[in-house]
Amino acid sequence: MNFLRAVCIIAGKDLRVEFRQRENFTLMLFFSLVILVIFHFTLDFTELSFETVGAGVIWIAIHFTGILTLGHSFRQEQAQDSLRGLRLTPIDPAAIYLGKWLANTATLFAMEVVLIPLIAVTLNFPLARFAGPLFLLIALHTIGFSALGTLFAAIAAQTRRGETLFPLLVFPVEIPLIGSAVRSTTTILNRGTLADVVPWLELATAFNLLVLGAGVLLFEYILEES
Amino acid sequence: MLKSLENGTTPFRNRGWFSRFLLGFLAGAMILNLWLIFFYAPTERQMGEVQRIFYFHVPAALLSFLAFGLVCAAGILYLITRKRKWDLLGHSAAEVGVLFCTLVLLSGPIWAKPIWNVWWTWEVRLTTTLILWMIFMAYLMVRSYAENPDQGARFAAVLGIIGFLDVPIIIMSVRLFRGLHPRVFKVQGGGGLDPAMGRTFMVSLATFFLLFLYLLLERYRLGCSDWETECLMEMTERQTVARPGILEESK
Repeated sequence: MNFLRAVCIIAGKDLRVEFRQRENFTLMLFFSLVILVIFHFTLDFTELSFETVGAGVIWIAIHFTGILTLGHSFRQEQAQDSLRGLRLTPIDPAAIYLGKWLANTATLFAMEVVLIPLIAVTLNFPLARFAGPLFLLIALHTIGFSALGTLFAAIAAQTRRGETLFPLLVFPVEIPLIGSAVRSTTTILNRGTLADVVPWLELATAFNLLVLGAGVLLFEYILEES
Repeated sequence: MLKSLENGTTPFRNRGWFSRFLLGFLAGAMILNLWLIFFYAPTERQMGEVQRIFYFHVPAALLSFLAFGLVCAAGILYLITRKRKWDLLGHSAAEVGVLFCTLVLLSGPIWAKPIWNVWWTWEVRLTTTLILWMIFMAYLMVRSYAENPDQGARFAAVLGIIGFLDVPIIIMSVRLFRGLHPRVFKVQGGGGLDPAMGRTFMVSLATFFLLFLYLLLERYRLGCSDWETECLMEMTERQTVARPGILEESK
């Protein structure tokens, strides 16, 4: 089977499951709403401007919501032991990884499409003015987040206390990417241009390539049956 | 391993002469090192006595980075060869590395409080060390929460490799914020380290290296004994299943 086709089949399968259940997506949206309300009570949006707290709110909301959906992507495979089915499928583990990553990235994008306008409304910032660069930044950083999350979700799903372990695995390794996301977004929200954040964009790209490369090479060892 | 056990030999039971020698040598080096640090090395003019923490702090930091490099290398070797010894080496190095890293994170603030007037600051090396410490704590956790040792070894190897490859990116990202760590060895326009301080530091580094080596070896040996016990239990189980009366017979 063609490698690319295998990637698309895995991604398609996950997205189809997600589309039919709509459980995960609903849960995520509701969770992000709850986070926004918590933010309101901890940061008091009426006093703080979006220039100072906007980037932090955006990225914490994306990460906390994202960690739920990423963790789910392999835990759902445990029901009826479909993880074994994946293992037995005669396709390259790297294709399974990339397929899962694509599906997760698409789910995260869908969540962000709803979440970002919601944050813009609650924080009172003119989204249209920043839409272009903000879209690019969010896309770039979401790719890396889901690449790392997909890889570690496969580990967490197979260990005890995986739900708790999962964020502990992802967040420390991902700190450079979170830093890059928040710093560059802050610059953009303070009327900076993309040219001002080039070092951060380079860093995020390096991180994405590293994690995707590592995932493609190492995923077979994670999927292996013991 | 199983084969040597079945032949009745236990490869790791005796502590080797090397380990005893190392322990003795280490004890001597430690005493010498303490004398050098507290009596031989001159007191730093501006920072005063507290600067002596440098002789503990920096070697521990360097060795914890070495340990994390070892974890990564051992992880790669384990995934390629599947030899248990590489996994044991990685595990031992991670534990000793986390220990040294903890020492760094504890000794740093003791120095920073009188000098920088804060216990903690989000400076390049501090932040990097803290993140590394967290990654390798996660490494140890993955191991203990895995369903079986084999799975734990694979997962930990993956995490160790990614964690170590992440280091340059962490440093790069933290460096994009500004830093204020003292640069001891490269001071622009002269100055630098007093020769006596330099000698003391080198002895410190050597002593810490010996300590690191000793702890690593002992931890490795402990891991081997663990594994040996596991194999023995497995063997007994197999024999009990094959000949149900064997345990009573041997009594």
